[in-house]
Amino acid sequence: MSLQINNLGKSYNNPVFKDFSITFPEDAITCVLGPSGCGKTTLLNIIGGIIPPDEGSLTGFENKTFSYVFQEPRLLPWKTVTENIEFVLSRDLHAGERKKQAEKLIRQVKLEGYAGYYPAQLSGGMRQRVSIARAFAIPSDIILMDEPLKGLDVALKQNLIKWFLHIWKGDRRTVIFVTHDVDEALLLGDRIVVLSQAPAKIITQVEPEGPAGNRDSDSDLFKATKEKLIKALDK
Amino acid sequence: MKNFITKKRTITAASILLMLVVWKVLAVIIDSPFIIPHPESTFLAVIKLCTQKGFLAAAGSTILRGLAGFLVSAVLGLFTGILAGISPGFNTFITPMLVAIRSVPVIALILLALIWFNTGTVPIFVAFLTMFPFICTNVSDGIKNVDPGLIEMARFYRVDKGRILTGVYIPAIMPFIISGASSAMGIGWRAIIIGEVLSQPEFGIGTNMQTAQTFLNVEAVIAWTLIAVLISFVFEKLIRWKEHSFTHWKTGS
Repeated sequence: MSLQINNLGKSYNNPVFKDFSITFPEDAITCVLGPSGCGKTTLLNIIGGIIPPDEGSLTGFENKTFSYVFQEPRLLPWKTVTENIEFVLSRDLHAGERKKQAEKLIRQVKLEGYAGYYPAQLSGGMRQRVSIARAFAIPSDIILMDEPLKGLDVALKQNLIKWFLHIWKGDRRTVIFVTHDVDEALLLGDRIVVLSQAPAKIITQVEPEGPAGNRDSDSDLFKATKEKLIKALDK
Repeated sequence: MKNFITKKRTITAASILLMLVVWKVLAVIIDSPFIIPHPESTFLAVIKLCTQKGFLAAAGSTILRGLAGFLVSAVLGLFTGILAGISPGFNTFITPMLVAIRSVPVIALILLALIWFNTGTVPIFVAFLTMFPFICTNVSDGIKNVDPGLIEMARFYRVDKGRILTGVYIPAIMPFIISGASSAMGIGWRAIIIGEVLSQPEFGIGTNMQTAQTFLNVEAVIAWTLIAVLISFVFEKLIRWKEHSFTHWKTGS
């Protein structure tokens, strides 16, 4: 069953969504690409239940559990890397199991040497890696990602995408990733949905060739798809 | 950093030295131990006081009153401060009370307390009313400063309320609690000693100061004052000494 949002309406001072519908395939990465201020974060917050919609319905999201990778890593500054990950783990797990689970994720994002470090001692990219590890630490059905690579340099972005896909391939959860960066969407998305300015409408939907992680950004096909997406964004 | 600390210590030492020099000069000019005794004879008086019978009872009683006042203020201040920080309604409700307590002159509190309570309790009551608003306001300011993004993250990950309190709120407000406790303690000691001077409990630094003043024993008045300053300094250091263990994550050291 796919996850659907039907006839969504949401306004603040101006309408952000008006009669907006979208479908997300399960167990795949959907990138929602749109200009700044088009309501991408609002969409994630509605899906995650942080804010209620004014109108419309969400189907398939009932009884789903979520993880959220925020734009800023939102790590507790007074907790170490391990403690930050353990913090979100269920208390039904024994302390030993929680520690084991945190250590496993830390290994997966290659931060073994930094388990006892505080966020202030880590670089921006490392902090975001911890935030990604935290999202995967709980057995959530859906991972919401709100431009987590914003403000990081290109090399770091590519590195983080690599780490993200590395963990994601382990259990292939449903991911909804919003961004305004075409390259990010092309490197990560199984499907890319382009949104217009608010009130958001779907301009186009693209399914890039080949599995995420194995796409060559120098290939003609990649460049052509990128052109197509940039054109759609400019509309 | 090391150079800076050495420089800071030198400046502090110079400041203390200047105070001693001014004191000594005044003592020489005035030349009357009944008005300003010499610093060295006063320090000898401090040592004499410390070895006297009854010193421990006096200093100990004052310290115990201070700790009792502080403990009650800390517990109630923390509780009401957290509530005021979380609930804007409660904050509006408690603000006039805090303003009222803060605005009442300490001497008025003491005069009323003398009517209401026994002599040993008066200083504790006065200390409580001077310390409580400080701790409460600092804690509620701290709560208001907690990054809402962290609370949203914790709620999103379904972390229970108890752990949000102990894992997010309390560590975030720890620096505020420490600075509130430190200011409260500084003011609290003064309030306790004023309370003791006026209520005259059987044991207490304030009681002894008042007795010394009655017999024009200026040396003893200043000696007890120095002891009070020392107690205040030691407790300030104790509070600040624990500060690092709550805020080491800022630097990671």
